[in-house]
Formats: sequence, structure tokens, C-alpha cells
Amino acid sequence: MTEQGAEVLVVDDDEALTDVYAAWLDDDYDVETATDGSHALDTLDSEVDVVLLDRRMPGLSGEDVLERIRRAEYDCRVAMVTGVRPNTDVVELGFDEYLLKPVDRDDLKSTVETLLDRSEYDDKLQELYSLMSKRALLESEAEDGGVQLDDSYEQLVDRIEELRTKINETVTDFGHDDFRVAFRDLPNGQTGSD
Amino acid sequence: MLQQRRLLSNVRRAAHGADRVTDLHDSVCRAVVDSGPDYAYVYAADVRAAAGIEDPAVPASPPEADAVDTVHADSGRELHVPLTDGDDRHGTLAFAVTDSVDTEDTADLLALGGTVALAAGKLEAQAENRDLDAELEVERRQFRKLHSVAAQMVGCEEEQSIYHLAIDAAENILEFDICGIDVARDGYLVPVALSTGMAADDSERIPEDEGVAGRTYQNHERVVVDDVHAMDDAEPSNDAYQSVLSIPIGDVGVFQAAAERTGAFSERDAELAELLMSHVGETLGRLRTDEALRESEQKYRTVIEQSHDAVTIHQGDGYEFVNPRGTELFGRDEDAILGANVREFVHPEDHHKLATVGDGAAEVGDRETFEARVQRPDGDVRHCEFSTTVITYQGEAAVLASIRDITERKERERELERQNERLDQFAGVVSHDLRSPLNVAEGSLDLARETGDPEHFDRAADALDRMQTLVEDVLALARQGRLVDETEPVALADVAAEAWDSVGAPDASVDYDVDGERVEADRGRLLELLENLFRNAVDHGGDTVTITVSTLPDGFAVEDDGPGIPDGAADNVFERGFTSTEDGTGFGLAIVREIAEAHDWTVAAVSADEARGARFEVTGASMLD
Repeated sequence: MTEQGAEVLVVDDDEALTDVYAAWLDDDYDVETATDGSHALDTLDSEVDVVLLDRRMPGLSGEDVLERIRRAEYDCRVAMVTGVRPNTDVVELGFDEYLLKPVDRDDLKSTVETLLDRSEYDDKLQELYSLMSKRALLESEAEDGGVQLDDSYEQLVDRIEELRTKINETVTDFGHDDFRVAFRDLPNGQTGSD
Repeated sequence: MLQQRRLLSNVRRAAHGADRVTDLHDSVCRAVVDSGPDYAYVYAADVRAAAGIEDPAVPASPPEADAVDTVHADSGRELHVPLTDGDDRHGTLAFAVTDSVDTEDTADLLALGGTVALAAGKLEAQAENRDLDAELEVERRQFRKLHSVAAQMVGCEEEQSIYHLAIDAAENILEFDICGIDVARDGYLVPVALSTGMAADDSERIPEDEGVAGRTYQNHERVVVDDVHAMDDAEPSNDAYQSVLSIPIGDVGVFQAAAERTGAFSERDAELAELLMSHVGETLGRLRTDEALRESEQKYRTVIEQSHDAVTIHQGDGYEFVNPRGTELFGRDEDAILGANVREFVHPEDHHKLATVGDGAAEVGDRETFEARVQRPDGDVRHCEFSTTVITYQGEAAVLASIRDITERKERERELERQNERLDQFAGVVSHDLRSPLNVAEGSLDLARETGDPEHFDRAADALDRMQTLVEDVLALARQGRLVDETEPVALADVAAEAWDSVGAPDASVDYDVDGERVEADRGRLLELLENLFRNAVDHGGDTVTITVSTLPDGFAVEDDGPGIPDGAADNVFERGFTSTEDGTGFGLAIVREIAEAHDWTVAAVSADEARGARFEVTGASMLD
């Protein structure tokens, strides 16, 4: 489910490695590279969908960069791609995926793809929630007689159905991890296990 | 009849006045003669006493006990009066008479004979008593002497002296001329002491289960042989011996006495000899016990005093005993330790471990092992393993502690831990730092295969080069683990120049702000340290970098005019794998730190002036002018 035009940022102090990753991903995505943390933060903007981030770098470390990404509330998915074996310290880190080097081309590509899927699911889910609340608002106003339900309401209902279908399709493709990650970003109160 | 009355009273007085039986006879005869008759004598089987006559002829048959006889002897008529007291016939008194005797006089004479006989009987009984007293006196004297010998023996410190004393006593007190002592050794009874009357060839050792001596020794009982030649199992060492007395001496051996006549040893001899030998046995036993005790005491003393572990005994909270190793361990002399509180010498943080040791709740036999630190007066701290046992010491519960200094072991353990950590780090470094270039090499090859673009091959080759460098650096770092061997004063300027030569950066330069200072160091390691600092400066400061080496009061500094250390990275630069250059492996400064720490130096990256580059200071070194 390649999404043309998706933007991937590769951050690693090993420039040769960013070159390799870029060469792998170039065909399918817009790829930006950065060889240190501050350069990565300079390059990052709202257009970036996925960040592949090394953990150990001189200057700003991968963890520092990740923290700043989360603090700035960029709407992007982050995969740590690193030579450091994960330890309990990763619990505190807000990444979406963790890849241990060496990574092969297929792993890297499928990871980016999965993260984009999740992003999309997340986007659709957010839209669904907002449309549903709009619908509820309209319906309650109509009951009070303050509003006449017209075509735009019908379109709203159609769009909700369409989103539901798409979301269901995505969910069918999801593995266990994707659920966990997908729900992490949901607003509070909607992540319950009910 | 006047004459006869006089005779009667004279004789009676004589009989009563005599002290001994022989005196009695003499006095009676003299009393008779003094009373008139020409002569008188007393006889039983032979003549006992006489007066007025040289050699009286004794008639074959004395008169009946109740009759007085007139006998015609060579010298004339004699009157014979029986000296009889009841049934006890003592003898007969005879004296010369001129006329025959009247019947009523006969009765008087018979009564007189009874008086003399009674007196004789009394005197004999007295004499017997006197002999018994004398015998008792002799015995008492012997006992006294034996006791004094026994007392002398107690003072003996050698077995041989005891044997000699015993033989002397047997000769002088018991009056045994031929005697000796044999002691059991290795299955034989071996002569250890001989009386002067004993011939040397009488003193050969015999198996301890043979002969009279053997029997005495085996059965622990005395053997008295009255006639050796009538015995089967006795094999006297000398045919001249007839009688043998053999007395056991405890489990130790046998005392033997011999005599050249039969039946020479009485029951009393045997008893006295036994008494003497029981003293010998007891004294020997005590001596041997004392010796064994002294020996074992000596042994334990040696063990304790030569012990490699400190050994202490304390009661309540005060030390009662400490061995020499203990004084060494505590760094105090014995006087300072004895009576001191146990806690005084132990690190305050370890006092809680002494709870059982000090609270007196422990029971005899309780054991405990724990580690605690001993603090010496000079502040030195030794790690020790305490093994304690609650014992009874001088009647009261005490704690016996054996304390082993395990400081070196601890240090080895810590060193081992450090090495393990280092190994762990290597593993981490290898896995982390090799992963990136490996990833590059694999990915580039993949791309090269696909596109044939030489750019990908070059990148793969570079990655492999980096991996090789990395492997070499990891090995170099692994070798840093060994300690500094021997240090010597090293001229800083010389070693720095040599290090610079090996870096091989022709466009860079070094300024030496160094006089003749020397630093106490392992030259080879110092050289490596400087090489790595220089290489770091060239790597970061560029080919034309200028480096300055300068001395500090307790070390030296290497500074460059490059870009300096990235903000906030001063603490990280020494970490393995930390690098900000593309082809660096991040090991150079890690090696620098390893070498510095092996010398007990400290190395720090200092943020130099804004205008300047990186500055590394090595401090804690001994500098010599």
C-alpha cells in the first residue's frame, strides 16, 4: 500500500548508511537524509511522514531528537534504526518501531510501509471521530428543531460509512503491534479495553 | 629356817627387779648365792645363767612341775626347783644344799619358782613387744624414706631420673642388692636402670610377654619366686639367682629384684616394693601427661602464632588475646589491642555485622562467617573475612575469631569485574559499531548488484575498511586492560616527540611548552596515550592543526587549535565508540582514558577558550624536574 508522495527522513551519523537507505527507498518515497540530530530537526517539517532514526550519534542523540519530535507534536511515525540492542530503557522512548542493524532492504521498506499504514489508519480514525461528533451534533440540533437535515448531512453519513469500511480493511491487515501502536495516539478515554 | 626365808625374799626381789629375761636369770642366781648356797644356776635345755659355779652339769631329767627334787651332782647335793607359771614351764632353778628340804619348805620353793616364771613370762612378753615396736619403727622409717623419695620423684623432669631414684631407694631403703627396672618399648622390656650389684649381661631386653618379667607386665600383678630353679617358665638371666621379686610399674614396665638365696623376699618386701613402684608409675604417668600437654600446648602455640590468619579472642566487647598476625592486621601493638572494644577496629558501616559477636546472646559452639572491613590507625582499610566460634575461655563465654585479610582477593575480584565489564563493553562495541558499516556493506553490495553502479562498490569497500580499522582498534583497546607494568621517570618532551613522529601528519605541527620535566610513567603506555591524543587532534583539527603540549603541576595538557569539542560532549568524548568524524572509530580517547586510569591519573576534556580548540588535561601524575 505504497503512498506516493510520502516523505521519509533518514537520520544516521554514518553518511554511507543514509546513502544506502536513501537508495533503497528513493523509488517509492521522497527521501531526506541528515547525519546529525540538529540537522535532522532542521529538516523535519509537517510533511515528513516517517523518520528512520539512529540512536547513537555525536551531539544530539537519537533519543534527544525523538523527544523533541514528540514534544513538537509532529504528526510523524518514528522507527529507531540502531546498532544498540533494546534494553528496558526503551520503555520511556516514544518510538513506533525498533530495528536492529544490519537491516536489509525488505525489512526497511516494509517497516516504512507499515508505519505509513498506521498513519493513514490514524488519520482516518481521527476523521471518523470528528465526523461522528459532527453528525451527533447535527442530529441533536435537528431533534430540537433548530436545524433542517439536508444533503450535506447525507454526505456526512456516506463519508462515515466509507471511512468505516476503509478502516476495517486496514484493521484486517494489521498485526498485533500495529494495534498497540495505533491506539497509543488516540485521545484519552477512547483507548479503553471495553 | 631363817636362811631359807632370806633366800625366798632375795630371789623374789631379784625376780621383780629384772628388766630382761637374761638379767632375771643372773639376778636370781646371784640372789641365791647371796642367801647362802655355794652356787646356783638356771637351766632349761641348757644352762641360762649361773653364779658361784663355772660349768654346772645339767641333769637329764628336770623335776616335775609340781615337785622339788634333791639331786646328787658331782659337786654335791643340789636342790632343783621348777620355774613354772601354770602350764608355762620356763626352766629350772638349781642350787647347792646341805640338807634335805622339809615338806612345807617345798611349797614355798614351788611358789618361788612360780614367781620367777611369771616374771620371766612378763619379761619375755615385754621383750617381744619391744621387738615388734622396733620392727614398726623400722617400717615407719622406711615409709618415711619412701615418701621422701616419692616427693623427690615429683620434682623429676626426666624419666631416667625417676628410674635412678627408684633403684637407689630399692637398694638403700628396701635393701635389695640386685634389682633393675625394665620399660616396655616396641614389644620388648628394655632395661633402663640397674642396681650396682647387677651384672651388665643380666640386663638384656626381653620380649614383653616372656618370663617372669613378661608375666608381671602383662598381668599387672606382682610375682614372687622363692626358688627359681623349681619353676618352668622362669628363665633367670643369672643361674646364681634363687629368689626373684617382680613388680609391675603401671603400664610402663617392670621392677625386678633378685637374691642368691631361696625365699629371700617376704610379703613385706613385696608390699614395700609395690608401694615404691606405684610412686614410680604415678610420677611417670604425670610426667608423660605433662609432657604430652606441653607438647600439644607448644604445637597449638606454634599453630596460632605462625598462623597466616589473625586469631583473636574477645569477651564482652574487649579483646583478651591476639596473635602476632592480628597485631599486623590491626596495625596496632598487642597492648593497644588487648582490652579494646571490638568495634574500635572495624569500619563503622560494618558494625552491624558484629551484633552476634558482642551481644552475649550467642551460645557456645555457634559459628558465623562474615566480611567486614578493618580500619587501621593510619586510615588504611583492609577487607577481612571473619570466622567466629563461641567458645569457653577461662570459664566464660568468649568469641574466637579467625580473621583473614582478603583485600587482595577483593581487589582481584574487582579487577575481574572491571575486566568483565570491559569485555561486555567490547561485545557491545563490536556489535554496535560493526553493525553500521556491515549494514552499509551489505546494502551497497545489494544496490551494486542491482545497478552495477561503481559508487555502490566503493561505498561497500569503504565500509569494509572501516570495519577492519574498528577490529584493530578493539584489539588495541582490549590490550589496554593490562595494568601498567613498571614506571620510571620519563622525559615528557622526548616521549611526546616520539609520539608525534609516529602520527605522521606532515602539515600539522606541535609546540612544546615543556622544559626538562619528567613524569613517572610506563613509557610505552605514555607513548600510546600521547599518540592517541595527537591523532585525535589531527582527526578533528584538520591536517594543518597546531598542537601544544604543556606541563601542569601534577601532569600535562595537550591542546589544539581545531574546532574544539562539541557543546555538552566533554563528558562523552572518552566513551568507546564516540566519534564525530566520519572515519573515526571512537576508540582513541577511550584508550587515552584507559592508560591514564591504569596510572591512577585523571584525564579530562576541558572547554578551552572560545578562540581555541580541544584541550585535554592529564592530572594526578608525579612530576619530576
